[in-house]
Amino acid sequence: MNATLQAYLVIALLALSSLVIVINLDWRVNIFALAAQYVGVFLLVAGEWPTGMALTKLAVGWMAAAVLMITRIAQKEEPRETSWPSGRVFRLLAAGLVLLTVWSASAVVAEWLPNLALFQIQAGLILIGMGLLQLGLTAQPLRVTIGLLTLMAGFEIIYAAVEISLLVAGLLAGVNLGLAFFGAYLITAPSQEEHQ
Amino acid sequence: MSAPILWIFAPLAAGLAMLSIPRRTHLKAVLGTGILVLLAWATWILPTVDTVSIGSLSIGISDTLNILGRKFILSAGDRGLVILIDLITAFWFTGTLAVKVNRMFIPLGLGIVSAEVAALMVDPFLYAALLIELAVLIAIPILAPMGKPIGRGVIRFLIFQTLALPFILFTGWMLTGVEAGTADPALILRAGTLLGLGFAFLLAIFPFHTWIPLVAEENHPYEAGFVFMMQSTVVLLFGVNLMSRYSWLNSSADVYAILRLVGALMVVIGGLSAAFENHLGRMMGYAVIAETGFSLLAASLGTQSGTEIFSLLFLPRVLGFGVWAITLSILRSLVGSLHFSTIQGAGRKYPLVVVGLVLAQLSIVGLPLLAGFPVKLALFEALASQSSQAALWPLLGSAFLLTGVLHSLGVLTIGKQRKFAAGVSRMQYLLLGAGGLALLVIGIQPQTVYPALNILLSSIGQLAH
Repeated sequence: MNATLQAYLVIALLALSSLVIVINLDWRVNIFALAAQYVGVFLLVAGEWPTGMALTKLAVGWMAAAVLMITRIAQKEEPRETSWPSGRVFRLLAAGLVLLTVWSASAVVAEWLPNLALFQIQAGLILIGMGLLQLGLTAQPLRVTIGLLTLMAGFEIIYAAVEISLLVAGLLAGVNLGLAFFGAYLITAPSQEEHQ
Repeated sequence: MSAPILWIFAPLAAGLAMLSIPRRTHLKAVLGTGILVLLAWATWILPTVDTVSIGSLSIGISDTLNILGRKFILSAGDRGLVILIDLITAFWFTGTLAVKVNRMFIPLGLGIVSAEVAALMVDPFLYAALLIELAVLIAIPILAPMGKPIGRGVIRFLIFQTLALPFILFTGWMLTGVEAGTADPALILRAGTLLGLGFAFLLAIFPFHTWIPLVAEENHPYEAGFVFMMQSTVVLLFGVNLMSRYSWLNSSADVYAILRLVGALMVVIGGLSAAFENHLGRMMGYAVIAETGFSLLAASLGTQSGTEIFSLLFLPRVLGFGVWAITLSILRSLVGSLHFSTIQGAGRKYPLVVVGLVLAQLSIVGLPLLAGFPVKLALFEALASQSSQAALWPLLGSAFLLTGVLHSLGVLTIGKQRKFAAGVSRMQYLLLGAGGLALLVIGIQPQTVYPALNILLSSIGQLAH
């Protein structure tokens, strides 16, 4: 398959999964979309890093998703957010706006970062933009954690092209797992004392 | 043996071990304090590169620890900073003997020390942002105790601190081009802007400061105060070290002008918000914002004396906020809330607690005869010698903060109650007395403490333009 076509298929996967995360309010779908997102991240990072090292992104992402999934399964139903914009049309329009902004800004960013291919920048910016949008729309621990993981995934796509350091890869893996772990803590903490 | 192993992994191991102790917060406080004082003492006396002989056993000590191809170096210059971090934490742990805190406070506090000491040692040092983020994550359970609803403050804290990470890491990559001398002014501007944004998130600079009053209102004042102090101390040290290492940052007059503007803005916003505040916890949060502004103003001087003032500000700040947080914790446990409507007249029931609170507040404001005064005076003098306007705005911010303190004093002493109430323990009186006395002694005899502190922190990066 043509490399450019392959790259844009991965971008489409990332855009779709992040769009699902922003629009959909069902936590199960969101966590599966997060896991799918890391497949795209792995495919893009594998172009820059040795496959074994790039696989850590996938493994860490899936572990993060698994931690969130297991935690959420054990919880009662989440209360609906009433004070935040929850209409799907609103979220869809906002996400569309983010995608348009990324599309138009990526060429400018590409001039700043000549080491990176345009598709890497687009993929990274899509996840960063959607992650920021998600963070702006919610205050629920699970959705905030997914938003932060999405944002970090976008940053890691771009950063992988400029920095190949085992320590940084290890620390970023630690940060991602830490976000998932402490995000899970935030989900369970309010009901924790009852079980003690 | 690598010296960094001891200073990074010993607190971490101790913290993990303490997690298995279910309650006994006093035991944990004593152990945690002891370990950190011991580590600070060892940092002071042990060589970082040498062979230590114990009987027939000789142990070679190296100042470098290699992990995954990168280094953690405990240089002679960093030792003072490690001692500072260890002692600040030990001081806050001691306070838990007087106030009831989350049972994970001490173990997680040790974890935070471990991550922040590692942040000071890592090379390339911009990777410190990752370790600071790990410290932020470890702080989450301190700010979100089990069995209580999650507040907006802790969520914002997590978001804003995490947002800083990409900016600083990416700047690290850009700066390699700048250092190599191949950079054009546009690249420098971009790197500077990204770095500025990263630090704006980390230091809770306006408009990213909103989590501080929220956290201060929603959380236990002592736990919130600890997180504020640890986070701001390490990030400020990281920032000044960064400036001193990059000549294009260190020699740029524009950078110092921006620091001065941002610092003045933070002091004014912090002071003004405190003046109109009606919650004692939030007021402490706004004072934290103003104090960060004072540190930025000291750094903006760009002189040897500016760096000295920057490092000396840590002592009165930690001491002042320590006493402030203890008094708020005691009042909250006695009265139930720190809102003015609830706390009215508390000074008539618990006068010694309120005296401690007011002493701490006035020391942070920088009133004469208290610990904060000598350093604030030196700062205002240095600012005024460069430009009278540079001193005017922070002075105004301090005046606003003083207004808030007087307002709270008025609320606390209102009423007709004439009998003291019981409820304050001997340990609380002891620690409050010691803290209040320390604020007074350092204020009256600053020459007994500040020169030693200056020597300890002489390794903080020198700024000059």
